[in-house]
Amino acid sequence: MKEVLFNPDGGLICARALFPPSSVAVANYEMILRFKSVNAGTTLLTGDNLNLEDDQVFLPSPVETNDGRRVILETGFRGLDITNQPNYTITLEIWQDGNLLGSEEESGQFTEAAQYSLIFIKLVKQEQVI
Amino acid sequence: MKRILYRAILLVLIVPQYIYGQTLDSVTLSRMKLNFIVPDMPAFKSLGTEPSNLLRPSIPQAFAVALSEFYSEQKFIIPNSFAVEISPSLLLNAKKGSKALQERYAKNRVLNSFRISLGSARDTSFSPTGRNLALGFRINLINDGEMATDMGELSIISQKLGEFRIATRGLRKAFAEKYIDQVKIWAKDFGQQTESEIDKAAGLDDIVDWDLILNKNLSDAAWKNKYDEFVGQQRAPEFDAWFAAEKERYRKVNWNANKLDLALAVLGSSKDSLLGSARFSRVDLWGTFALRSGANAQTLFGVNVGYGSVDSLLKVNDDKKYLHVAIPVRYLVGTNRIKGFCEAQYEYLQQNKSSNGLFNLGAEVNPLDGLWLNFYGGINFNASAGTSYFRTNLDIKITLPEKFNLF
Repeated sequence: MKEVLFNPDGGLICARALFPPSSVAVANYEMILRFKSVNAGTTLLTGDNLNLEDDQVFLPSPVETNDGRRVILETGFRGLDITNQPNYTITLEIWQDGNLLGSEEESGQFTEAAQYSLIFIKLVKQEQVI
Repeated sequence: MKRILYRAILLVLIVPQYIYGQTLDSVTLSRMKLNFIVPDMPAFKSLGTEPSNLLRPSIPQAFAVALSEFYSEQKFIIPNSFAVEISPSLLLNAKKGSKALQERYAKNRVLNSFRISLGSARDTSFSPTGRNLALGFRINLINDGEMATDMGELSIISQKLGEFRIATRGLRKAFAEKYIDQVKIWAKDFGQQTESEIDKAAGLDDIVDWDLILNKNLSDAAWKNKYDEFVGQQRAPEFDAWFAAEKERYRKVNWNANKLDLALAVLGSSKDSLLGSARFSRVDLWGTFALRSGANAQTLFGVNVGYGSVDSLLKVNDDKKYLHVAIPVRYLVGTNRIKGFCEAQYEYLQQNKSSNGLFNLGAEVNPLDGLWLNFYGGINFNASAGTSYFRTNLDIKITLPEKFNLF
């Protein structure tokens, strides 16, 4: 599982999803924050790639509490013009204080059917250097 | 005139070559192409091979071809005239799709509907080898009923994808529960929990991130096949059947959506097939509003204004320019694939100071994806001279089929 280090004393952590444009595929997603060492979690954001606003959300504070949690991006999508746009990439990014801490992506080819994508990123507290 | 035609030919020839040089991924701003409408084009209309002066509004297509007069005296013949039209915005290049790109495209939707057409027709009225050459431009000011940009329709698709996503999550859970012993083996390899924790797990909820573990292992072909078989036995997500039906429904109810097109064409004439001999002959402007007129009908209101010489080559010393104005109205009724229509047109020709009328009955037929047959017949009468004659027309127009891969 992709691990991303964050600063427990830094600003709020932001999770951001990137999809192909809606002229290429329609994507419906749910972003979930799963608590440390369990399967229970909470929905951070649901939406689609139709509006022009960024698909991003801030994680809960205090920031340090996010240690060991997993950010999950679950997407259902359908390619609209597969002959001309055969490939897709869905990306989950983690940001803090304007810096991209890390990202995970899933790439593949559209099929003539609805598709399902699941991306996980584990948040790990960066140890303080004294 | 020659310079314009040279540049247009270069553009039509070079743009596809340039695009071909890019990777397949680079083709962008393509869309869900639904072949609603006969692809009329200004350069073709400017050639004057059709009795009607109505320019049919259409949705932008990357590439379209029109051929006319291929049926004469009960025989199929090599077409005397043809035209091609390209949409530069549909052929634009960008290596990555992005929201910024999409935003720019949405903001400049009218500009992106800009299309260029180039047409040629044999014209023996002034020379045995004479040809007319036309260069046309067109934009859509109103273009309702385009699925790829219809945000309401895309929202409906998104909602259905949300249902599909939730249903898939449930199916995966059921599959993992069925094969929980295998999931435990995978979980031990994954190493997020101790083996004893995994052995003690009473159910999936005790296996942390079982869904991620399953997702990774479904990349194994044997387990993917097993999963697909499992899905087939369950009540599988119904999105795909719904989507196919929805696309068809959308096409049926939107073939007659409102549209407004503006177009301009410049016509040149040449005594021979050499481009260097071409001289300016006429300029034409068109405006056509397509109005949805009930569930299965559409009314087209057009205006065509042209200005130029009637025969600039034959009468080399006659540089007089004349105005002509045509106001056609066409009423269509039917379905997307077959429509009948009646049409009336008033036309004023300044050259003869005559008023002409045209009454047509015809049909548009779409027997195959991307292929349109357009035929009509009617009476053309000169109100000033009191004469009339019968005229028929049959032409073929081709666009890329919805599933055709240009590159």
